[in-house]
Formats: sequence, C-alpha cells, structure tokens
Amino acid sequence: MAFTGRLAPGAVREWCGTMPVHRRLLDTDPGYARAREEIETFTFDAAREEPPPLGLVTIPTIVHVVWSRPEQNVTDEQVASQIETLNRDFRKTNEDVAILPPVWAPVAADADIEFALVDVTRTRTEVAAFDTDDGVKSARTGGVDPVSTDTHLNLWVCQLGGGLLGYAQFPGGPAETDGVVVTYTAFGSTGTAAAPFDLGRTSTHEVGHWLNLRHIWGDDGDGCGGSDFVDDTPNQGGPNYGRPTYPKVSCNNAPHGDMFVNYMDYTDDAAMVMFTRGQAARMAAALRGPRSGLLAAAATS
Amino acid sequence: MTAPPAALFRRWVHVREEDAAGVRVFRPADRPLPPARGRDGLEFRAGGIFAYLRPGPTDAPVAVVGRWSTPARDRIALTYPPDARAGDAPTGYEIVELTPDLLRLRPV
Ligand SMILES: [Zn+2]
Repeated sequence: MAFTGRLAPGAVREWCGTMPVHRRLLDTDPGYARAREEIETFTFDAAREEPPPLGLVTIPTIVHVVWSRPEQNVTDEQVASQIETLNRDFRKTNEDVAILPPVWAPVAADADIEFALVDVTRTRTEVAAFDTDDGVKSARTGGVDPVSTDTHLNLWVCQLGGGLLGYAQFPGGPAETDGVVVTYTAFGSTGTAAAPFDLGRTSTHEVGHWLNLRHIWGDDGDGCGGSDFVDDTPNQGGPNYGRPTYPKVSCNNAPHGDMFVNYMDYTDDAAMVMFTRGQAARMAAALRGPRSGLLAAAATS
Repeated sequence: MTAPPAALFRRWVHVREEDAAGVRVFRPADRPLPPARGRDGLEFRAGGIFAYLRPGPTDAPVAVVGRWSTPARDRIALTYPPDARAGDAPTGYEIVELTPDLLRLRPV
C-alpha cells in the first residue's frame, strides 16, 4: 500500500486544508494510525478464520440534505431511489449484473447488507460548494452534525466543489466526521442525478469505503505494487474510467484483465455492477470489528 | 529564469475529457466543473511551491507538494520530494495556453 500524500517539511500546516481526511488523520492523530493497523490485523485474521456468515445485516441510515440552491434540496423520492439502489447493489439484486463478463459471475457476491432509511434531515446553508475538509459534517461550518455514528450510517448530500462526486471515511476515524458525502447530481437515480453518474453508484462506492473496502487498483497511481487486500480481485494498474470493454489488460493480468465492473473502480455508474466474495468478507469483518456497533443495534431492534 | 504569468497561481482541476493531441486541459477549481469519478489537479503558488493533487484512498484529493521553476519561457519544471512522485506524474510542462478560465499544458 503506497500512500502518495507525503509532504515536504514545513508544508504540512500550509496544505492541511487540501489533505484528505484519511491522510490528515494519519499525520496528526497517532491513535487513528494505530486504530487502522488494528483493523487491518483483525480483518486479516477474520478472513483466514472464515467465520460463519453473519446473515442479513440491516444498517439504519440517516440522509442529511444540505442545500443553498433549491434544486440541491433533493426530494424524498430521490432519497428513496438511492436507498433502493444501495439495497440492490449490496444484495446482488441489481438487474445490470447481467452485463458481467461470464468469467467473474462466480465471484460476484451478495454482501447480505441492507439499508433502512430512518430519517432525512434538511439544512439550508450559505456555503455554495463544500470541500473535502468535512465542513458539511458540522453545523459550525454550514453543515449538519452526524447522529449516532456507532449505530447508523450518516450520508450527507450537498454540492461538492472541484467536480468531486463523493468521499468517505474508513472505519477507525473520529465519530464526529463518520459517514459518507455525495454530491447532489450523483445521488440516487432520479431528480437531479445526471448521467453518467445517475444510477446511484457513487453512494455504493463510498459506502464500500465506509465498510473498509479499498480501490481495486490498490491506490498506487498506475503502478502494479498496490493491493486492495482482497484475493479475488485481479491485480490492476490504475483506475479505469468511462465504460471499458472486456478484456482490459494491465499488470500482466491477461487473459481476463482488470475487473472494471467492480464498484470499487472509477468507471461510469452503468459499468460497475458487482462486489466480489472477498470484498463481501472484508465488509463482514468490518461489521464484526470496528463497526460492530451496527450489529449490536440490529440485534436489539 | 522568467516569472510565470500571475494567472497560473491558483488551483486547477484536470478536465481529462477535454484533453487533445497530448495537451492536458485544466479549469479553475473554484468554478463549476463537470463531475467525474477521480480528477487530478495542480496548484501553483508564488514562491516556487506547487501541489499535485490526485484522488486518495477515500476519494478526497491527496496533495504531493513540490517545487516549480521556469527554465525557459513557457516552460515549468517540477521537482518532487524524495520518493513522493507517482510514477506517471510529469516532471515538466510546456504552457500551451493560459487564461483566467483555462490552462493547457503539454507534458515534456
Ligand atoms: Zn473511492
């Protein structure tokens, strides 16, 4: 795993505002680095031990709509369309799984995770576009605070700047910023959702990160040395964009090539249709470990 | 050494769908941009500092901070801290076009 976020001496303070949450936390919070290490050790052991399946886990979900222009105040119908997509994608009931090249059909997984919408909050803001500094996650900075992050998924919908579709926080980070953020034109599959990001897959991808999934190419630029810590995804160079055609070969992964149909690549919504069994196991490990509060909540509800 | 035009000193986002003939197209980060899954970018600051921005492990941009210099007119040379340059990050550009709304760079 190669991180690219190294900084010149003296530059840390000046560039803090541009740092991603994950890197910023690694640099400034030793407890976060330790938590991430412990989570990876736990996840590795869980994969080796092959524990019995958890069964269906339903995650209570709160959607926070933060808007400055009326069209950003997405409708309840659009929110519902996003929850439906998450439920289809994490249960492998998405009809477009039919486009899978047959070679990957055997590893496509039902992750046995569903999402139940429990609340929608609506906040009017003066902020025209939010950055990745987590401003949308606090009332103090024009957003709205999360609710019960140990037992709920918090999903913020707003205008993100810089053409960004969304971003997430891995397990092990601070509770006050835990959750995922999606820009309002890539949220759900109706209303303001705009092609080619109009099938709700940005949220599927971000929630994948929130449940500890890494990018399928291993986050090492275009190199072949990075890993997503999942065995049944091929080694892959850099991200794929758009709608590639099979096979797309990199890193000596012929004949089948890159698994660009995976939700954790960077392809268009219409091109990404699957998680693998290995990814499902990694998400289950997150639910047993750092996100076990979700299981406890499900057991008592 | 010649000073680059002041218009260079801001954050630029790579709009790769507009790239053509080996020239990369950048737009100002603070203007409306077409959303994309994973954009890289550049930020130049007066005083010789630049940042190369690319999507990080949770999709928020990661900054690699280095130094720029101008070895010739319309040329920018980039140096990265040891081990910090991603394999595909250019070490120099020719400035093909620079306006308040548009930056076109050819990697050299
Ligand atoms: Zn991602």
